[in-house]
Amino acid sequence: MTRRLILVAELVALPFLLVTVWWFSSAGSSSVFFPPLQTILAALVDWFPEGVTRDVVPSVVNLLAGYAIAVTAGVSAGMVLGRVRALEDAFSPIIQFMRSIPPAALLPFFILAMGPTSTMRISVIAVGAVWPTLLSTIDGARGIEPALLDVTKIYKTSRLRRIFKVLLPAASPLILAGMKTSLAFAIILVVVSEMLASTAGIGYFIISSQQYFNLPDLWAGTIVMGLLGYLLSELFFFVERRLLAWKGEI
Amino acid sequence: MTRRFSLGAVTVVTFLGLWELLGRTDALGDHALPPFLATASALGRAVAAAEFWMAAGHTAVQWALGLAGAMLVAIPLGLFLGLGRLRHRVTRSTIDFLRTIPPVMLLPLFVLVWGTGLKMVVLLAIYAAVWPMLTQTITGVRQIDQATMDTAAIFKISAWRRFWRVLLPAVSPFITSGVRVSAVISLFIAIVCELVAGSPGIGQLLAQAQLGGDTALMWGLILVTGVLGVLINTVFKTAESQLLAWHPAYAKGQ
Amino acid sequence: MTSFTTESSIMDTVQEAAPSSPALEVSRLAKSYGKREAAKQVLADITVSVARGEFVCVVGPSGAGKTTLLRCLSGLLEPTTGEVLVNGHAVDGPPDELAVVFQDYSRSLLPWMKVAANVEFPLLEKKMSKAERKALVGQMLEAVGLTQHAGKYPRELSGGMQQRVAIARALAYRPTILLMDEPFASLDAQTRAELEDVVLQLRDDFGVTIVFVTHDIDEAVYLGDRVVVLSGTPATVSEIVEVCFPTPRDQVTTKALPEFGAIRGEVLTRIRDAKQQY
Ligand SMILES: Nc1ncnc2c1ncn2[C@@H]1O[C@H](COP(=O)(O)OP(=O)(O)OP(=O)(O)O)[C@@H](O)[C@H]1O
Ligand SMILES: [Mg+2]
Repeated sequence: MTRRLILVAELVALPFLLVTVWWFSSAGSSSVFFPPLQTILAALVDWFPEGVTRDVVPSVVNLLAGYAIAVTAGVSAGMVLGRVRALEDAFSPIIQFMRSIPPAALLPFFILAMGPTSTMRISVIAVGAVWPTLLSTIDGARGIEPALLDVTKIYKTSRLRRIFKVLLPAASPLILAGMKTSLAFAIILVVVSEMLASTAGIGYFIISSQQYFNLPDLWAGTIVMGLLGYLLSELFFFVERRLLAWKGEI
Repeated sequence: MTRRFSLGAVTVVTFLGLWELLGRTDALGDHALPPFLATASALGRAVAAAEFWMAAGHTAVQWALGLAGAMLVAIPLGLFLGLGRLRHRVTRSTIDFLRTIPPVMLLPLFVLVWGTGLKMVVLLAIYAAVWPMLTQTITGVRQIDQATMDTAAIFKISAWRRFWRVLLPAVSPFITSGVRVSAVISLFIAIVCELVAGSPGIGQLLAQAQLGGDTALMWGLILVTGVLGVLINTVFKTAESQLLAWHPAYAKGQ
Repeated sequence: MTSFTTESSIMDTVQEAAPSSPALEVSRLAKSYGKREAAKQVLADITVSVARGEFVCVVGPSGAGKTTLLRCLSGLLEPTTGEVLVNGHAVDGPPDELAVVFQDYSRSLLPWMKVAANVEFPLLEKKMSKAERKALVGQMLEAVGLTQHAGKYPRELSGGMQQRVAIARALAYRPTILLMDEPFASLDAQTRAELEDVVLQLRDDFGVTIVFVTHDIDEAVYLGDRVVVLSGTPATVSEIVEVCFPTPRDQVTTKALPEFGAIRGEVLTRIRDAKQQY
């Protein structure tokens, strides 16, 4: 019991301290850039109910749609490339180059080709966030224990079962590691695409607050964005822990 | 090796041919994808101008300062936090929170406070690039066998030597892999700042090319960012394997 | 120890075969790894025939090529020359009625499946109801003494227990031919003796044909109807020793027979001779 308490205390002490310091040091601040935390929180409360549907939902929808495409494509292509040596040899130079392009650099092209639409955001995420998953899946697929493949041959495992019960689980630790980086890429891309060309979304909210010089809203939007990023990555971590429970270490 | 090379070359050529074909037929409409040859010649023209090299220089400097600044912060801080049990446990939740929040969200705020110049880009790049190195360094210190440190202490090895001969070598594989990730992040952030805030650099030229409808130049500059990324990846990978040649994980050429 | 007399006949799955044909027939088999200049011949001119229901043990020094031979028999590896017939049919690819217990058992289990799911895994391909599958899995886990561990992941088990899971999985598949590659190498003497008897029981109940690779000459002599001694580089069959003890065999009385010592001595001598020859 006391161990639990100590653990919780360790977790919350520093965040609590930091917020408190922020609160008191900013109280009565007259700097335009650093409004009192109280003002920021008030802006947050004002923003709250409609803000979620207006700003957060569109961002999250685009994010998840693009991410889903990126992950599906990355995992399926990665499994094939990782198992077929000649294909990997053939595509490796192109993949190595594409993954080195900073994902945001592709935005001008997508904006030009598709305009400030949801399709544009989903496409840029699909293309920009696919590489970490793809590369990691290739590594994972290449490293699958050959003994397991022998087992599936001896026991005549059907193709689908071989893929979903043997190959994918075997590669899953690396697939998930790649997916984690892809998620970070996807979040960056959705925010940046909204900052560059959009009329909705949390990135748009932040950038327009900046343009109107509305500092409390800007701070509030930044905080919301931070919490959103944190929540998504915690959610990912939760799912990952479930999926890799069999490894018994994380 | 040779088979790998020739297969790769064949696909690259096919890929470029396909690009040329798609470009010529304007398959995506609006000349959003110009032919590869047009892109290459636009890039060739750009490279001949001083403006390009100024921009490339800006991007390079912002990247380098961002990475260097992040190293100066993250490595000592990581060693410090990793070495104390309490320090580590108390700061863990805060670090976990801060490293998962997307750094680009800070861009508008940073622009208001510091403008769009080099200083802002470097500060944001530092902020973003700190986390991989910090968490890696902490992990590296935490995984050191307590017995190793105890042995060193028992043999009365001076703290100075313990640091250089025991601690640093044990942590270095973690630090270098963190640095490699951070190097890439620093470039990503520099490009985002240039693109969104119009800070000087390749990203700014890219945004201008897009706005001016010069798609051939735009694609040429996208390729340039890719080349920068490849350079950074290669240099850091090579440096890492050189530096860690002594380390068992690298001994067999990975 | 449970016996295996319940359930429908395993013969359901067996291919049509000439009743007189042996279960396994290996003729002039040779195997080389690598190509052209880099080729390394491991097996040369192996000819063996295994009758239905026969228990054949293969012994030989480490690196002789026992695993390679077994992989050729199972259809996982294509012989360089020569032929393998299973129930009279030429092998290309693993035959339906054959199961293998691999040497590196810990790597051949699916680490993301619990013990029961691992044993059930091959059964998913068979036309069986879920209830039938569960019953069979339970029965096999009991046979290898792992009933209490059905809900654990392989990593939570000791090496010997993991090996028993691999054995249960192969047995549950109800093969007519079972290939086992040093299956008991990492077990304690007690478990080992028990599992040896489980395998013998299985053979008696179902007439399963077993090819059993082992380093342990006592084990080979105790289990086998014949012991094939493999030696040399490339390896050939240097000797086939007939073992003619009464069945059923018993850990205490069989091993106490005077013939046991004699045959064991003979096999040992053959191995030593073979070693000196090369
Ligand atoms: N895939 C392979 N490629 C090349 N050589 C191989 C391969 N597999 C095995 N060998 C070689 O073939 C020889 C026989 O190996 P094998 O595994 O069949 O021996 P074994 O009798 O099973 O040994 P052990 O008793 O140690 O299991 C060894 O020299 C080994 O190095
Ligand atoms: Mg072997």
